[in-house]
Amino acid sequence: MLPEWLTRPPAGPVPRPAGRRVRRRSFLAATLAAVQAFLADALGNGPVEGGRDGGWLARADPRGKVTGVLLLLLAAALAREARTLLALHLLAVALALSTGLPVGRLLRRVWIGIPLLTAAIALPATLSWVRPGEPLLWLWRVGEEVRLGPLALPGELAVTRQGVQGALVLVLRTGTSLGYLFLLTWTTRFSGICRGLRALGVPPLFVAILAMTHRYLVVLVQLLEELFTARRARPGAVAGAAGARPAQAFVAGAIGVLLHRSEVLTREVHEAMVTRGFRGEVRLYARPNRSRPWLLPLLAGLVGAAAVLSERLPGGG
Amino acid sequence: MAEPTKQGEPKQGEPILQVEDVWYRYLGRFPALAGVSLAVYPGEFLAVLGANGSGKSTLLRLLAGLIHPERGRVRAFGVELRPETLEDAAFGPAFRARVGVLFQNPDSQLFNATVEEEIAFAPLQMGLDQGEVARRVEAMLALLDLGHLRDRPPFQLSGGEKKRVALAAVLAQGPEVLLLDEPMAGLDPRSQDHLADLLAELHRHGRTIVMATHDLDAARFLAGRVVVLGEDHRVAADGPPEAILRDTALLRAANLISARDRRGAGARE
Ligand SMILES: Nc1ncnc2c1ncn2[C@@H]1O[C@H](COP(=O)(O)OP(=O)(O)O)[C@@H](O)[C@H]1O
Ligand SMILES: [Mg+2]
Repeated sequence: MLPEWLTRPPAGPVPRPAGRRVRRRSFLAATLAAVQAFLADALGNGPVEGGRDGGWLARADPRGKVTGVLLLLLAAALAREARTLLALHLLAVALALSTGLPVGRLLRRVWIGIPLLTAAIALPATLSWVRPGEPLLWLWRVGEEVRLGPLALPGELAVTRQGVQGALVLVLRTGTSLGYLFLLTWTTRFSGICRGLRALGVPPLFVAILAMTHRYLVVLVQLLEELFTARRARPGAVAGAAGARPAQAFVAGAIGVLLHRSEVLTREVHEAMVTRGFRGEVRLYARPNRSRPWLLPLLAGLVGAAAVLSERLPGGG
Repeated sequence: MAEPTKQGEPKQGEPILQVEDVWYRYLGRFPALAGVSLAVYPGEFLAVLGANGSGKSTLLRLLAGLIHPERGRVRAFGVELRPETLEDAAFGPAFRARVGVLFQNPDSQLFNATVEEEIAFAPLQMGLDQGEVARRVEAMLALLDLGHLRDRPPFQLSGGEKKRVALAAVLAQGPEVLLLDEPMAGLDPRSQDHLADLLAELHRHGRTIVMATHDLDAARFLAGRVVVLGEDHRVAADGPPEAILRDTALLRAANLISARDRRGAGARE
C-alpha cells in the first residue's frame, strides 16, 4: 500500500517565479565544481571547437607537437625576464588564434586559478625582508627593530623591485607553461600525447601508467559530475536550506562513493584487459605516420632558443 | 529478431568448457553459485537464463578464468582453469586469444582513448603486426557500423554504441568461444536484430557461444540449448529451448516470467 503522501491530491498550483534568487552554492561545492570543470577541460574531456579536428595544429603530427611543446616549456623554464615570457605567451595565443581555438576560453583557463595561487605564494618574496633590493613601496620604516614580546620585526619593510620582478616572472612562467599545455591537450588526443612521449624515448610502462591515470581521472571527473547532477536533481538542494554543513557532509559522502566506485571499476577494467590478452606489456597502435613530424619541433626549438639567447647576449634583453 | 538458425547441436566429443559442482560466494558471505554443473560442447549456442542475481555473470567470470571456485572445478579445452594454468606461457595466451568475453557493463570494458584503439587492443596484445591489426580494425569498424565513431573516446558514446564497440573489440581477437553477458540489454530494436543476425552467423561458422540473458525471446530465437539458473543459484533446467521455454511453471519459479502472464511464454509463439 502506498504511503499517504504519495496518494494525496496535489498541493495547489505551482508558484510562479518571484524574482528572488535562491542562495548561491556553498564555497566548497563551487570549488569542487570549478576543479571538475578545469580537469574536464585540461584532460580533453570537453569538446573544444576548432580543437580536435579543426585547425592545422589539430592535424599536425602528435609526436611533433609533443616535442615542440616540450621545447617551448623548456624555454619558458629557462627564461629569466618578464618580457621574454610575455613574448612566448603571445606566441601561444597567436598559435591558438591561427588554429581556430577559442582564445578567450584559453586565457580564462590559463590565468584564472593557478597563476593567482602562484602569485599568492610568491607574495612574501616581494618583501625586502625576503629579497633585499630597491624599495618600491615602503610598508613601514621605523629605523630600529620592533619588539612585540618574543617577536622581533625588522625596522624597515618594503616591497622591492627585485622582489616584484621575481614574483612576476614566476607567475608569468606558470601562465605561459599552462598556455602551451592547453594548446597541446586541446588539439591532441591523449593517445597522441602518449605516442609523442614514446617517440621521445619515455619507457612504455611509464606511458601506460600515465594513460591509465588519465583514464581514471576522466572517469572520476565524470562520476563527480554525475554525483553533482544527482544531488541537484533532488529537492532541498535548490531550496536554499543547504548550508555549509550539509554540503560538507555531501562532499564527504560523495568522496566515499567515488572511491568505492573507482575500486570496483579498477577491478572490472583490469578483468576486461586480462580477457583481451593484456599481460603487463603495453603495445600501442600506430596509425600511418604523417609527413615531416620534425618541422614543428624544429621551429619551436628555434623560437625557444632565440627567446632564451636574446636575454643572455650582450645588447639583447 | 533473426531467423531461427538453430542447427542440430553436435553434442559429441570432449566438452570445450566444463563446470563441475562449482560453489562460489562473494566475500565469503554472499552466495552466487551453489553446486552448479554444466558442460558446453564445441559449436554449441547455449543460453544461460536466470533472474537478476541468480549468478549468470558469476558463471561467465568463472568460465573466463577471472575468478576461481571455492569448491568444484572449471575446465576449458580440457585444462583446469587455475591461476597456475592461466599464467602458463603456452596455455594462458592461447586461452585468452580463443575466448572472447563481452561484459555486462560496457563502461568497464572500454579503457582506450579512441574506438579505433579499443578495437586494436586485443590484436596488438596477441602480437599481430601493425598491418594485420589495421586490417582487423577496419573490418570491425565496417562490420559493426562504427566507422564514423573511430576517433571518438568510447566512454563518451551512448549505451548502445558502447555495447557495439565492446563487441567489436572482442571479435577483433578472433575468438572461437564467446562468453556474452546480456549482449542485448540496452540496445534498440534494430541494433538487437543486427546483433542477433551477427551472433547467428558466428554460430553458423562454428563459434561456441554462451550467452547470459533474461530475454526469453533472444534465447528462443538463437540458442540451441538453454540452461536455467534458479534463484537458489543452482541449475533448475538444462535442455532444448522448445521444451524449457514452454514450461511455464519452471519459468515462473525461476522468476523469468511474470506471475501475471497466464498464457506463459510458450503460448506466445
Ligand atoms: N562484487 C560482489 N560483491 C558481493 N556480492 C556480489 C558481487 N557480485 C555479485 N554479487 C551477488 O552474487 C549474486 C549473483 O550475482 P550475479 O552473478 O551478478 O547475478 P546475475 O548476473 O545473474 O544478475 C547476487 O546475489 C549478487 O548480489
Ligand atoms: Mg549479471
